[in-house]
Amino acid sequence: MKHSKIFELLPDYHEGSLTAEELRSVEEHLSSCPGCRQASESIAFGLSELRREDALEIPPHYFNNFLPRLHERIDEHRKRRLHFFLPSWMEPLVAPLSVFSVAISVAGLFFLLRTLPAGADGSLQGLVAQVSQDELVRLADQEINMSEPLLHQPIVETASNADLVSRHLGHQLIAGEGTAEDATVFSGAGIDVPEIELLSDDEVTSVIDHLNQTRTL
Amino acid sequence: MEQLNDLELIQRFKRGEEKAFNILVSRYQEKVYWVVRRLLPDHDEADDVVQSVFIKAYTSLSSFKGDSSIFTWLYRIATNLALNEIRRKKLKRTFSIDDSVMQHADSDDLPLEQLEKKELTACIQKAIDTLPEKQKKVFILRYYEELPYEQIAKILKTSVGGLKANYFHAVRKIGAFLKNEA
Repeated sequence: MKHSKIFELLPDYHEGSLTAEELRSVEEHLSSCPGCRQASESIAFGLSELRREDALEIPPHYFNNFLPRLHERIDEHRKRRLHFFLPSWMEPLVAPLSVFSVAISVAGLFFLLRTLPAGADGSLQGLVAQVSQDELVRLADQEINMSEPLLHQPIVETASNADLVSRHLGHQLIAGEGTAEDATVFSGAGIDVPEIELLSDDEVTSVIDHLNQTRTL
Repeated sequence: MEQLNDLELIQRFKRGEEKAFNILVSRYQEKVYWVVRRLLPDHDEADDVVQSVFIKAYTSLSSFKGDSSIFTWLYRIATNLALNEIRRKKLKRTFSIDDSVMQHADSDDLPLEQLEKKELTACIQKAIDTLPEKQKKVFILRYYEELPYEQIAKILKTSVGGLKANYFHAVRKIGAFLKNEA
């Protein structure tokens, strides 16, 4: 039998756990091999010293208390995984910051809707709110060019404004104002719009664009 | 539920039954503790690692496929975490003063026989510490845990022949170390 195979069997030889055949092979080899005999003595000494070793001390009831302590650690571990994203000092601020950010978002959205430029969302309703009654009067009376295009539709939609505007717009306004639906509004506001119902949407759009470019009321 | 086998308990745990995990812990806590304790003689350090083993099990059990037994899986985690702790300690010791003086000071009042045994235990621990990691694992699992080689081979994913050779070298080195210290 090879030395390496004997080495593998030596611990079991000294622990008495070899088969009869293995035992005979090891003893035969040891009787004729001083190197392996020396190794065998080393193993014997090591194991005998190990057997003298005292049992390690362990606190009483350690295993009985293990599970509750483990669950405490598991809870801590879960919390720590949350802290991976935020430092611990920020934890008390999370709730107030969340409320604050929601409030800011709502306020921001509200402000955005209020200040949305007229026409930006396809509706011209907001423009009415931007032009005060006094300003409309002033614009109408002085017939000035506006620095921002003031589209006719929302003005006309407000009945009181429509009267003012209609005095100055006349037929020039009729040619380019609104879609076919707007004609009803114009009519309701006392503006004569005999031709507008005949215009296609594209034609109406091109007239509106033209009016915007000239910025003339 | 306590009569269920390990795989059935794992299935229950995967379905959210925490009690199944508790039973697994109760079933294996002592075995895991002693493997770790042999690698880390300090109880508190061993306790810390044992808890880490079961936390790891708790968080990873849902992905446990059952290729090996839970017992093998836990032993593998335990030996790996304990050896990580030993490496960490060695690194720490490199940068700090040796605390062996303090350990000796604690032993001053013990009777002679007890003192000798305590010293022998410390000496054996030192001897084990000198072993390469593979031999250390094999030695602990074979000598202290008395696991069959086939079981150790599954835990360490190695051949039985290699394990026997590792065990032989481990015992011989421990014997030689103790002889020199005597």
